[in-house]
Amino acid sequence: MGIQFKDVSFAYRGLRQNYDAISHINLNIDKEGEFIAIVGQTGSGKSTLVQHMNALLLPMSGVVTVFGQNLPPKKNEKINALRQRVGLVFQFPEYQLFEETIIKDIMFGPKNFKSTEAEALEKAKKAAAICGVPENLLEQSPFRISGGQMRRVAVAGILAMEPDILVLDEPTRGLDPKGRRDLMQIFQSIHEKQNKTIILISHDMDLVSEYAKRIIVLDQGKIVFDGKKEDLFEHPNFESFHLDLPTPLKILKELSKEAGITYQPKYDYPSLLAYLKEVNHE
Amino acid sequence: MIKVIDLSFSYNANDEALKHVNLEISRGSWVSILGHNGSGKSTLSKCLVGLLAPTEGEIYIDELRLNDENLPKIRQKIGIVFQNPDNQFVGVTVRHDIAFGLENQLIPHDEMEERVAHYARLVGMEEFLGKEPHQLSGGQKQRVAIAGALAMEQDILILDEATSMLDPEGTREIVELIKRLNKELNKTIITITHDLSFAALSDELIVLKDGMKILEGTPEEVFKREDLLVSSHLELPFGLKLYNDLSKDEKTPRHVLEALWAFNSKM
Repeated sequence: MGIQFKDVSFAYRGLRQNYDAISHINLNIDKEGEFIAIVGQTGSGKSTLVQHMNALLLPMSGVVTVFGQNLPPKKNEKINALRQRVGLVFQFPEYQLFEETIIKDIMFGPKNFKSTEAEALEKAKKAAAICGVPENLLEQSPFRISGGQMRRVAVAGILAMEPDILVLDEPTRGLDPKGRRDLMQIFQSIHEKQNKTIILISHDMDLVSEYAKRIIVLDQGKIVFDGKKEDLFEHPNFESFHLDLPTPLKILKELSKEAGITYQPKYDYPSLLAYLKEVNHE
Repeated sequence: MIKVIDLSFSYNANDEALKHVNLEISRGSWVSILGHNGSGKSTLSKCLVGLLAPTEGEIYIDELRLNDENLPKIRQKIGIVFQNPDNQFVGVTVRHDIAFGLENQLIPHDEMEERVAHYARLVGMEEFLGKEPHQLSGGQKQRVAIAGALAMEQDILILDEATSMLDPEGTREIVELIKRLNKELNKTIITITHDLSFAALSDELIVLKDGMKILEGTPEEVFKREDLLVSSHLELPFGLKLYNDLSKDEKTPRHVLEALWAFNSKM
């Protein structure tokens, strides 16, 4: 179960020609316990790929299966059910806030998926708490809060639908460092506490290396790598993927070359610092 | 030369976005204005180009006070490029987009063509003049936006988070271009950002928090105040933070610190 792609291709229609966005994608994503990052240059097909995961786009060829359901399903209501299970947070989701109050905005999703008013309210309050939206803000307009808070309200709106899989398209783009870290901690804790599968599109390799377990690399619409992050950064063809190395690995490579420190991959700041201290104390 | 005296701005009565900000930016320098989301840095940049009128205080650009009367003259001195490349592409093609500001200024046709060609070349987009926006990458669109601003031949260019929507490749393109504009064309550059590794490249930093200026100085001076930066929701560049933390540990061998310092200088 979860999400499967079998030989999936999609092209955007142009006036004179079609533009291939993704081609011959094969992919298998578990419904639980995964933390996947999708990386690749601008225009490599990342957003197109994830929009197939909740039927916002339908494959031109090949088959996408989401929770056992082939896309497109024959009945439209099945698409709705599926969109509830795969929650997609777009880039700059705060542009989509529209309600009078924050709580109404967060309730919009669950109400659309046939929750009663009371259920929707309960789900919205829970999601707001997970996203760290203070209770005393809930009755305020979503347009009177800071950018970082707006982003969290928008994410809470998706979480309130209680999706099984959470798909995030550049969720931290444009946020300041603190806002970025806070939001990633929210996703990390959802992943750890509820064992939910998280799929994250990002250009920020430091963030990817810190949080993701599995990385999918797209290049010109094709998957050129799909595997554990540990294997990606040591891959012999890494340079051909046009990706930056995460900063901790860059530093370790430099220190092993220039200062004789044994290279041992570390994927985030605390573990890099701890490792260097340990080596220095020997 | 830019001089900001006791500048305050409110979007509504009970909330001040800028509080009594004073600053000076000298000709030919590259200054970064840093701050968290909502710190007032974009408000400040909009005040500087006269898109917002200050609630209190004064702004002088080359001794000229920014007010309604002087605005047309001020606009000939200072230009701005915004964050989102898609929101500011107004032409049908690259050529039309770069020419847009010139058309508004009623520049003669021949001169306009010359300037468009010249600035397209300067930003490395001369082979794309006939292209439409959807055929360009984010970095290319931002370069076109910069060319459009440069074509107005103002001395001061503000880039308001001009790289935050770009991928690493696009960011590198813009950073290289900014360096050249500053060093070779002697443009005064003001970049608005919350990325300290990017800001580290500029001559001087101004840090805003909740609408107030809390720090200013060279990157070296400002980076010494990690406590203040962190309380302003900012983070030191990764390598510098590591250098600081390892320096505090007396068992760190000197050659490790030196190698790390060399690494940071290359970034």
